Amino acid sequence: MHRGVLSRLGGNGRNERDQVREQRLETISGLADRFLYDFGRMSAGHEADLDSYLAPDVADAIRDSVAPLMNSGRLVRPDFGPYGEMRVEGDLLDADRPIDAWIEFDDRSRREAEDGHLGPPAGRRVRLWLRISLVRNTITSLRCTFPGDSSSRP
Amino acid sequence: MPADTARLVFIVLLDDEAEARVLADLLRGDEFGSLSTVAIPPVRGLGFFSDETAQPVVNRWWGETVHDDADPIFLMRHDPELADWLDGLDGVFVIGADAGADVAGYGRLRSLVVSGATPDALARAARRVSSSGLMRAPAAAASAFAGANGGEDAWFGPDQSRAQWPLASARELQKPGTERGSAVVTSWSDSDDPFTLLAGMSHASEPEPTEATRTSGESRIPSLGRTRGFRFPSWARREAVGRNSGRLSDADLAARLVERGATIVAVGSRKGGVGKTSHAAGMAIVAGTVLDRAGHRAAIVDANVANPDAWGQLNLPGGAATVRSVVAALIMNQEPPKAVYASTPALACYPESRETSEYSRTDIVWFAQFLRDNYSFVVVDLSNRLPDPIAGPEAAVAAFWLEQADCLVLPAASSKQDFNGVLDYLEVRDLPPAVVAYIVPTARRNREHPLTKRYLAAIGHRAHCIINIPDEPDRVRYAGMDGVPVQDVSPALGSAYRDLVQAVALTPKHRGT
Repeated sequence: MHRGVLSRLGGNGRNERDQVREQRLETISGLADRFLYDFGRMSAGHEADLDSYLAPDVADAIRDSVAPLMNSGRLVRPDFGPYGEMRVEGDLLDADRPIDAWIEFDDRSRREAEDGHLGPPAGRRVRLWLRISLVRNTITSLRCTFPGDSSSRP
Repeated sequence: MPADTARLVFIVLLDDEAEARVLADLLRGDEFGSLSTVAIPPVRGLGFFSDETAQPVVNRWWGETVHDDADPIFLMRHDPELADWLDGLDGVFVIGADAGADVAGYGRLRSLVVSGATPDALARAARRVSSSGLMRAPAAAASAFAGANGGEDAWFGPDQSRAQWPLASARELQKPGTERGSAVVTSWSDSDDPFTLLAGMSHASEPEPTEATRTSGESRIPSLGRTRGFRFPSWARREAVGRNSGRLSDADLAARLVERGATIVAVGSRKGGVGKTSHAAGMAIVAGTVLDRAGHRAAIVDANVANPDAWGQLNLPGGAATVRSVVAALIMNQEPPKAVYASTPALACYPESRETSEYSRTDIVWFAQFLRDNYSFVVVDLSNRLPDPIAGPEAAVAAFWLEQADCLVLPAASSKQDFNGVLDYLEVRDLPPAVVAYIVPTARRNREHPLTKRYLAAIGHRAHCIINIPDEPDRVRYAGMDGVPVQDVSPALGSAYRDLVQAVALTPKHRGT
């Protein structure tokens, strides 16, 4: 009876495995959270510390890609909507293998004129794919597409 | 209750005047009567938003009728063009539509509920909005309604219990590419769209998701994969922070802080465990960082004489100048010892010494003046006591500091005890303007519990404003263990603390001593 209760309470290491999964999901969502926060900051014209959690080549590629906006002096007021969806694929118990995460959300960012006037919201769905190394807690690959836009789908 | 002090303003936009009056009468009889009012503008229907010739009339009516602090709820009938005009506006909208109407266009909007078209149905939906704060899944609900209403209201939009309606902004948000006076905001182009630029990044090939996840809803997701609600940085959602405007840039926030003169912010609580010290440290770090760019400084002061060891978050070196040592020097007319700086170069920290027992009113007056002379923004971490000059040393110090404070920040978790503690605090006489830092529970049933709504309404009625703080106890604990500011481990908390500082910057000046 005692063994049965233990089993039901998560004996035989189940609790530990669940905890590891939860921790790694937290890590993954934290990385995604941080990237979006920093990308929003960059869109709004601020510097962002990408190097601490993005692989160097990814960080460089992102900086290069948004350089035209950063250098233009044009402003964007980021708004990625209230909620998004995140899907995670991979074995969360095997830290040696990369994890793929897809994030989808509504981009409602607006152009902002110098006098503070706001343009219309972008109003489209954005999908980000992140490949994450749990060993290094780092995003090693990243891609942005627009669901529903057939030209941008893989 | 007159419109200029009511929290909720139901704005009836039904074209037919007789129907508008019927709906207004229904709303006046609701249970939120003490906190709400009903208004019928002279221009109604789509014209309220779209008729440029009527804008002077509408604007004048708005200025006379709706207080800046009010939360407006608009009630109107479906119009094929309405969704375009509402898109991008901050406000809560109750749309009446016949069951056969195509309301799918509203699916992309936030803060909106579709109801039946009769005044009864609109009133019922408005009551639900005002009592629950909104809402549920977007497009699916709209589609369901478009298919068959079945007498039930379809709800959609995110939770937004304190929608803001900055009128000027609302008027200026027109259709894409239209002119607004001298300013023209064009639609997006590829060269200035961050995500288009990001999508053009040539870096890696995205794998195909597995078939099960690509084509399924949550129920078919493989056990190793997972879909979960993912909350995005709160700064991106909180455009209408405080009461009057959107988020200020760092430069504007610094300018606002400097313009209003030295500001002393007391962070208090009747009970412990709500993260008072974390909030104080978080605000101080934000203020120090922002002010540093403007050549000004911030300070944080430990006035928690009962628990002076709580400042693990700032990693202060040993031998730092304490409140006691500075006060002693001031009383002796000597040069105060140099403060230590932590987290940012512009944040001076005054911890409390362990042996401190009490301070006199004069001690605090002198120290407050010293702080005003040297810092633009001062955060004072009070003890967990209601302020009372004759109720013991901790309560007395809290009372003395509140006499000097320009603003009071009260953290509140979502429990009866915490809410009552905040209300008790707000009962104290002659308080400076209070900003309540509401720690939003992660559990939806707590967040949307009717009692929570009532407490928040009561608190919102007494406080200057309420700022939402994400509930991230694990990250706060981790920050405490690691000796780092919480915003270093949680961007969402960092953003919330910035909102707090901005809210403080926008409160009316109280003391000016």
